[in-house]
Amino acid sequence: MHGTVFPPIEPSEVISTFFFIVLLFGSFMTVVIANRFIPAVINVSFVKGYSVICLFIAIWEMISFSELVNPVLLPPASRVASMLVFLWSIGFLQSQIYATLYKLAYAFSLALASGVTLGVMISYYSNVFSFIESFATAARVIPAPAWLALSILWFGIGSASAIFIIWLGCFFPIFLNTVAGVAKVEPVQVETIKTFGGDKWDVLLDVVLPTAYHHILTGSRIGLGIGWITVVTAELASPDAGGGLGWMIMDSRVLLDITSVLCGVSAIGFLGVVTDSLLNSLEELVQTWG
Amino acid sequence: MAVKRGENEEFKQSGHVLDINEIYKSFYIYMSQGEEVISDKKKKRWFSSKQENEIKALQDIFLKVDHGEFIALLGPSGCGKSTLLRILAGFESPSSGHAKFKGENINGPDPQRAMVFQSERAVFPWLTVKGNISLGPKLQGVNSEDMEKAVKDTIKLVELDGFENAYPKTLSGGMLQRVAVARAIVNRPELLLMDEPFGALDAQTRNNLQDHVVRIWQSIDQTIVFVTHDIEEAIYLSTRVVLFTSRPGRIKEIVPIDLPHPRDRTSPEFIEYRNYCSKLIREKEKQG
Repeated sequence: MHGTVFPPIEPSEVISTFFFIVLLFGSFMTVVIANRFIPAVINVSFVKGYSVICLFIAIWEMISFSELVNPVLLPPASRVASMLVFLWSIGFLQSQIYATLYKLAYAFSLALASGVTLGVMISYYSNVFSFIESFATAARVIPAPAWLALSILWFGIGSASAIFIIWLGCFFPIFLNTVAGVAKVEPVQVETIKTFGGDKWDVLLDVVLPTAYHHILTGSRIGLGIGWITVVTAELASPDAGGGLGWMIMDSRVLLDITSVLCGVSAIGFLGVVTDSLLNSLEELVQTWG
Repeated sequence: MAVKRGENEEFKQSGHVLDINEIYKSFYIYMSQGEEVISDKKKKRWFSSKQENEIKALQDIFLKVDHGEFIALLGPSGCGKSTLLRILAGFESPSSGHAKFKGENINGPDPQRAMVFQSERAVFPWLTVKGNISLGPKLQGVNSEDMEKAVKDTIKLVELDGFENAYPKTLSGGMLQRVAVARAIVNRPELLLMDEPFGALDAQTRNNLQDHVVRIWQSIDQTIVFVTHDIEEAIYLSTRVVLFTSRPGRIKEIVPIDLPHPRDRTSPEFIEYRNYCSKLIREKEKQG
């Protein structure tokens, strides 16, 4: 993949600014009408959010079209859209998205499993946390990408080195939030389980995890945010980190292909919204008892 | 209501449900940087040099409870009555002496000794009313058919019909305590321990819940030990009132209440009992 030269888009393939604005307006109106008929799927807050995105893209298009800035440094949105379609059609975009999401999902699952397990275990021995608190704070404030150089030496070239530092970035928010959540466990609820003859596993499943659920979810959302930062940073910083959207951005920058840079950026933005809203929908579960 | 308690019938002839003998309980208080940690064990702590003080919570408690009795432990806060209840539940062990349940030493919590806690937080907010009440049968692996029936009966008994699928946050304080009572009695335990369950409620709701408890006690033939600091509540509910003095907690007197249920708070006999108990409590205040 390294050193791939993107085939330039033919001028005929680029949709005109006028047509692009019509398309943008059309898609916005579709969303508004969809809100009338399927409000369960396309709700009002979605329409509001989408309108701002459309407005932003329209202004961007206008700025580039009127040549207020150098179109080489800020290509028009229509050109980025055409490029996205093109990169998707040749399967290049999918493979980069897959490379990035693979690393993120792998590391995030590891971080969730290890963070929650260790968080619960450490809270169980209440004295232990006071010993490791300052260590955890120190480890937490070191930005995960700072370990990249070491990580490549330890885990070699490829995804593994990136996965390690993404795990490191996701782990601490999840771990520390789990500890905070478990601290909220009501002793009476633990005693209730005990009066019914439940053992420590029943306490864990019926009291500790439901109590900490909200905190674990908050930790996961923060962790996922840091995970995105870390995965892109790792890919930007090192062509050895297994490709991905960050690598695509860096590689295109070297070739002064700013259109592809913006393609990478917008793909990350879109995927970030999707992953966050997935976790957010889990949080709505809590509202029933909250 | 058909309740299986054959084992208990046997026991009824042979002895007491509860036999509390020479219970003595002391705590150590560790003081450091303004925080107060009460521990029932003298722990060796490597990383601190904390001052240790000993307090006696209970001293020389003798009490025997028969099957079907309703015992009220009455005393001011801090007199150790809650500690005694926690010993009976098996959460704490006495420093010396022994507490026996059906002839056997109490040794950790047991489903046969259910507890209703003071705090409303004891009801799990992430479970519905039905989910909370079926917690006990679920943990003991009762099959789903029996569980369904027991839960339904108990919900009817505490008059929570129609709220089966409500979450605790939508319920009032009185209803929450009814859920807590229902959850404790759903397995029909031999002994029901109640730790000031209505302490945080307003007077009217409390009176209402007291009637509920008396009705439940009569209808399922339960032995109840009830902790309270409210003289009227103790006399209204119980067959025997155990009066405590504080620091260290000792039994001052055991007052049998010979009044038929339902009791009238304004009857002369009731007022006589109340005055008698108040007098005893005032006496020990003077001594203290």
